[in-house]
Amino acid sequence: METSADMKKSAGKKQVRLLGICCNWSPFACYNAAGMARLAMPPDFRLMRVMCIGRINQALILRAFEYGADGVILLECLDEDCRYGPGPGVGHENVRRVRKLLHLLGIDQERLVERSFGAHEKDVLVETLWRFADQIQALGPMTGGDALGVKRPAL
Amino acid sequence: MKRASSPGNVKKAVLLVGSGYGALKVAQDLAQSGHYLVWVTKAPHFLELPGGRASFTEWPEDLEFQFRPLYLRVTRHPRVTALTHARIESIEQGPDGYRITAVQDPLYVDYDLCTGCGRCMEVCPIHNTTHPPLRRTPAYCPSRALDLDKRKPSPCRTACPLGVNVQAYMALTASSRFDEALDVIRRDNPLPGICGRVCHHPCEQSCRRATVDEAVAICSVKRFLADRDLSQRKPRFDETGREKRPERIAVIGAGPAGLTAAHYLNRAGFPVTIFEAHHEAGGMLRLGINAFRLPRAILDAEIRAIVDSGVEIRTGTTVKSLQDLFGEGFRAVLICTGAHRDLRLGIPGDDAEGVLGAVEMLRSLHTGKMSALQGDVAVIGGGNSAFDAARAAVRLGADSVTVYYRRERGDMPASLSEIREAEQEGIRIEFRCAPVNISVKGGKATGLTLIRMKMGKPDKSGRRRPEPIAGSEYSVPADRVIAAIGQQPHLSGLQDHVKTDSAGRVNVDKKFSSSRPGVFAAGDVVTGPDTVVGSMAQGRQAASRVSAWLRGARISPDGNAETHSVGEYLDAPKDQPKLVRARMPLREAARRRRDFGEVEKGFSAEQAVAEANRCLQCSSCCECRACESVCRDIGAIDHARASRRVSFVSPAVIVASEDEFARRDMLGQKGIYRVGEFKSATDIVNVLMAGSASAGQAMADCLSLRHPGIPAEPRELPDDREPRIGVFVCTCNGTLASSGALDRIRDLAARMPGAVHSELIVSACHPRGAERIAAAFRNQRLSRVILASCVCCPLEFQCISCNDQRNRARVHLFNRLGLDRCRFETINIRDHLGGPEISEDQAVANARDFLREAFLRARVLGPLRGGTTKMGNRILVLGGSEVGLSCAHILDLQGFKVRLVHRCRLKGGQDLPEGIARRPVTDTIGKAITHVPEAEIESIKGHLGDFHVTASEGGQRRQWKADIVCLTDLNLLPLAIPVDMFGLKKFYRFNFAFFNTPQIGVFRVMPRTLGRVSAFQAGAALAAHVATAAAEAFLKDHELSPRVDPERCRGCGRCVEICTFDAVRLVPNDRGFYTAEVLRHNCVGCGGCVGRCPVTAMDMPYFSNRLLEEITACTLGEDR
Repeated sequence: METSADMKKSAGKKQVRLLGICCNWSPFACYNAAGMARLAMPPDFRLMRVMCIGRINQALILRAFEYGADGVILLECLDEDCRYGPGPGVGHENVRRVRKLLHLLGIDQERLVERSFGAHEKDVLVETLWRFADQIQALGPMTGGDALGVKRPAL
Repeated sequence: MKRASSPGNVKKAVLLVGSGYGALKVAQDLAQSGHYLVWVTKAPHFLELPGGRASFTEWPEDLEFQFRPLYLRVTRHPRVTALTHARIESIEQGPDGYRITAVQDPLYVDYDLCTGCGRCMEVCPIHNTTHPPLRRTPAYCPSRALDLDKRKPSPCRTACPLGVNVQAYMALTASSRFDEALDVIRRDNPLPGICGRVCHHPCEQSCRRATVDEAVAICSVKRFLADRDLSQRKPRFDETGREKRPERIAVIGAGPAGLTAAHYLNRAGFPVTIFEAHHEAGGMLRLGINAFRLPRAILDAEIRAIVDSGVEIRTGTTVKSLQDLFGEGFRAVLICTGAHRDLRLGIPGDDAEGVLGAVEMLRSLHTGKMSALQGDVAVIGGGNSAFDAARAAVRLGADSVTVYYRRERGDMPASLSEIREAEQEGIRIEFRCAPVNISVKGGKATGLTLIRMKMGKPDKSGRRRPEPIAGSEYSVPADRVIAAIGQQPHLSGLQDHVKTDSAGRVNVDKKFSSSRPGVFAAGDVVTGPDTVVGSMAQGRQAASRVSAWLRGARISPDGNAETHSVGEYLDAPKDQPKLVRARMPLREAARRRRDFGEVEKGFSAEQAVAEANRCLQCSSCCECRACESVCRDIGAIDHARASRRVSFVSPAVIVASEDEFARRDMLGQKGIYRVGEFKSATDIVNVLMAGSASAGQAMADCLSLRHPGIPAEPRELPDDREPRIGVFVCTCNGTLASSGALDRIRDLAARMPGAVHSELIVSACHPRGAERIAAAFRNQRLSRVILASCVCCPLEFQCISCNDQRNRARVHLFNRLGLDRCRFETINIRDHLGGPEISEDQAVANARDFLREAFLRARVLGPLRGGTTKMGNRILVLGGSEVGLSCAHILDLQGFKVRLVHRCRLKGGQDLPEGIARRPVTDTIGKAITHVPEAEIESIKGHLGDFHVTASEGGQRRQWKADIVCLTDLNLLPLAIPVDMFGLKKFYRFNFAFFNTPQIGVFRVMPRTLGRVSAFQAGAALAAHVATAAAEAFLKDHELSPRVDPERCRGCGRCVEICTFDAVRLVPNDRGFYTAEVLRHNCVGCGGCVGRCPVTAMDMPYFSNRLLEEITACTLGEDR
């Protein structure tokens, strides 16, 4: 739960929690290059890196929402760029299915986003992240999930 | 950096010449198959860029990223000695191969140490110009390291007898860093205020700015710097780090040579005493130079600075006997008594009253013996002494002063400004005339007779020799005749102690040593009358000789840049705007001629800065060494670094760029291979293929060089419930965040649960930084380490985000110092903490988030690689076309056990079309090849290191075992899993290996390969690839390859379905079902099977199910 102090800190702006799940190859290269170029990232964005987006299963995406993410973005390689072959395909399939589940859970499907990048598109990645942050900000912190028993543990 | 090949210790290696992708591929194949390699290119980096592009920033970024891991792996490979900016000095054929010497130009920034923090660029005074000398180097692209552009020393610096680094103090002055600028001067010149006034500034004569407009007013800028310092603080010299020597040294004479020598001897640690006959120190500076040119306050202050730094001066002491000095305990004596005796005119009347020498006159003036001068004054001579005397005479009240000079105005040795100022003060100059007689009346001079001269042929000095015109004598009135035609040394009392020549000069050898051991001499007493700066240079050189003599050491080079002159001067841009040289403000002539107050007023700060900005910075790097001071902890920058020479023997030479290989006549000889004989138009894949082919051909010559490695067995991670976590925060040489923020981050980490140690280290990618981590690891008995630096992961492979610094840190920690990779967690706070503009609080808050996640990860860390599998050297080559033959032949030469099936057919498949080049089956190809003339292949089963090939040979069924299978004939391609992996984008997925199939260990030659290179070359390339794959004789498990929990696996086969690398298979278990099994050395560690597993029976290291879930919970679950 957001504390009143936090509410004050964000000065009217609704604080949302964003999780990016990132493939180690093209999107991470973008993220890394953006960091080296000191491009500003959305403030509440956290990144989780895996070797390939194919590593992620639907359960983990749902877990992210369960643990309190207001938005999850899957950052993938372009379909033809995958180092391992099936990664982006698995990503598309997972997103398609999790969106259905989100719908059933009463969570806005827009809270799950999937984007692909070439290895050099650091500016595109940063722009995408900001747009994603704005989009989730517009949706606000999750409420629908609460009604359906989604946990928001305060550790 | 651990380099297997630091200078001098490579004895045998393959030579690779040139830059480019072909060369990169050659290096990869040779190094990874176990060959030592010296890679030489004159280019600044190893990748010639496609399409004539000049820098990495210009070429398709996407492509650049894909080459990064390969580039890093190869250039930093322990078997590769990679030399940029290098050339082949000599190459000769010897009995055991080519004997080669390669020379690398000095690398002033050591790529093995540079952390790329960029502080040097911040302090470089000429960084914000059109030619910044420090730039990010592409040498180890991707890397942050810097390159320093240094040319031959600037002309002003070489023109200065003292070698004062003019360019550096111009650069520093231009950026208003006056104190640093003066420190640069003081390094080489202890008397800047004096030289700023009276130096004849040969620097300005050589200034290249004169080609644009006018020379920079260097001397006046120096004067400004010295004056500014005098007005602010007492001149001082850096006293730190000086050693103390016991040997006392006596210097005779406190003139420019004596003072300078004493200063440098004192700095070298010797106790020095100067003996000065006059009651004040300064020598000719005080006695021979007018106070209106060199105010006594300046002279006194600069002498005092030398006294204050520890030199003793005994004034009013005339040394009568050298023996007494030695008796007093002095170990060496340096005679710097100068040249104070005027040369006489040698004409009738030159002994009359009123005839005197310039030095004599000035000495009388400056010792208070002369206070006024009446009548007409004639001065003979055209040097600075003549004008000093003439201008002094004006001020002493002479009715008229005339300077008589025998040549033209342009021939005068006096400085132009002095001549100009003298004329402003009413002094007349007559040219082309020489005195012949002095009229004397009553013992007193009354007039002067001169003769006109004409200019004849040039003499030895290059000036035209004046010749008298007969009958042109004329007379002028003169109450005083001042002879300023030169001086000579006079050793009053000492001349019997040391040998002198006819002109009274002390004879010294090159080491400034006189005829008597322990007695040295320098300055005008050796050279005859010289300039101030010339005498100082003598003093300085003599000091280093005396010092070397006392130490019994050889003289070490000055650190003066003369030794490293690489590269021409920067050209001034064509559109360089013309700017007027700053004019020195003068006191008004009518006023100044009445007194001895200083004539020149000096530059203002604005004038000095503007003037310094006119400097063209000819040598690019100005060697102000500001960068060295900020790089002290890292030690990457060294302006005095020498070039590197590598000599070795090479059985084979591979030439990737022919224009870098001077011995074109050698091309085509045995053992010399070229990259670049293409069948079709050059594209990048062709080049890579050609590189691989020449590597394969060269391998056949280099069997003796192959040293396959054996991977270390992984160590078990102890099961520690209460891990002892150590945190190390790399400050990146102090640039990661403000020091306040860094301290807070360190303290924050120390308070995290489980932390037992927290430390800031200067740099994690520096050998010393890594050693600190290793020491703390041992001393603190750490079981887990969190490294907060720019390193993104502790894993062994390099990904497209990796760079040289990250890679180096891991090489130091894990390969060199042997720390356990699996105990480390790394977080990249350098690039993701936030830019320099974020507040300290924000930086600490961001670091807290990173650290929290890292502590979580550190607790869950598990073992990485499972182990290794031994692999044999049995190669099965299917297909005996030209491709198969050359492949089999080269592999055989390298000691592989090759079975070559000449004519293959698939069971039920097609025969190979006739017409493919095919030699008859003979045993003459290869000594140990097992030849099979013809066979029908049924199936290939198994995996790399353990293939079973079923075939029928002449109607008999055969089972061949092989570690690697090569399909070289087109009709065999169906045996490989059909995935098209060509095209650049897919190509990099397989590490630029052309022959790979999805089934690792089964290699194939595609028809399009044969369209790129000749069949023979394709075979050689294939052989190179096979040798690379089989190089280590052990198969490493991928460090991230998953484990299967047999209790949970239900044998559904989804993992097998998703794996494109043939790394998962189902094996029957004892319960009648199937269980998944991972072929860990086939695995590439993507984790696709782990994600796909519906029952979480599979899990992988570093990205484990538990870890991902805990991280999700941790990053989201807590209120932030």
